[in-house]
Amino acid sequence: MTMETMDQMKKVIATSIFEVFEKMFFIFLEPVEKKNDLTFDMETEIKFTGSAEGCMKMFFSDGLASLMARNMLSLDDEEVTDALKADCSREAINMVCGNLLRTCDSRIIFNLSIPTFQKNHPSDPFPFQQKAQLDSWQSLFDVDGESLGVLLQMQRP
Amino acid sequence: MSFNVMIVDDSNAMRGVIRKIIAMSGFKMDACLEAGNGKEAMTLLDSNWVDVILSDINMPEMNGLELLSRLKQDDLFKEIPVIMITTEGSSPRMEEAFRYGAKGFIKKPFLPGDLKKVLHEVLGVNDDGDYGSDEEGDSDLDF
Repeated sequence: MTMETMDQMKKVIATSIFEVFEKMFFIFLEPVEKKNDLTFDMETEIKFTGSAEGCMKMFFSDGLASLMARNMLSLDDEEVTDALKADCSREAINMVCGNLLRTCDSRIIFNLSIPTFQKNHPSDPFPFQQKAQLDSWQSLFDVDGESLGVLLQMQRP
Repeated sequence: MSFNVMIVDDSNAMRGVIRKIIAMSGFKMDACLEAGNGKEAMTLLDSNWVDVILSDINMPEMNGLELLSRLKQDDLFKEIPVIMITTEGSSPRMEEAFRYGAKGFIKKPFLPGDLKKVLHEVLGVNDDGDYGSDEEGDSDLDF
């Protein structure tokens, strides 16, 4: 994969994230540069197979997951439960990954796994790759101090 | 005329959003049943009648395509229109869903208007939520 293709893929990832977060969660994220001290409260993962295979991980701060649940379901703060935050996080990665794969190749059926969710230990750092790799991408986003991290690994089988 | 709607999605949050959008759209909904997967949907259909089913594809236990297939094999349920609401919107996936008997397809993420439009098209209701489309009314006047 060339650097040009890699840059295009990064743009496709960002576009998919913006579309999902704006349409479904009414959240307008800003891309941010690498931060070394970033930690996240929870993460979701989805795997896919098809003409390419791999996995996507999304990392959320608790505040972002809470905002997603509030906005998506028009809830007050006190109505947002951990289960709803987990549900919204899983739905977000499902939509972002589906949207991304559809954009990459709408003529191919990709099979998506059921997304998994886990709470992270507060001291777990975001698993930054120090060097660019040809089959993986990472992106960070922010909205009002709340963070989203995305990792994508994709290879041709 | 009011409709009984069933929403099949493993995400509680997504079911909530779909229910809210349907209610806000002016669509005349009588009952709204919810199931977390195709298997739960089939169980609910044993004791409830619905006019339309909105179903995700990627679900545990029984996915949306398996649900469609089961419905189409059942004389009692085969005429219930099913609209797929899914992230898996590739052209072959859509063709597959229509081949299985889906009447409509909505790609996630979607806007409230997208859902309302497909729901109205599939059930043949107009923007006021009345049964029978405006086009049919116009053609009657032409005669």
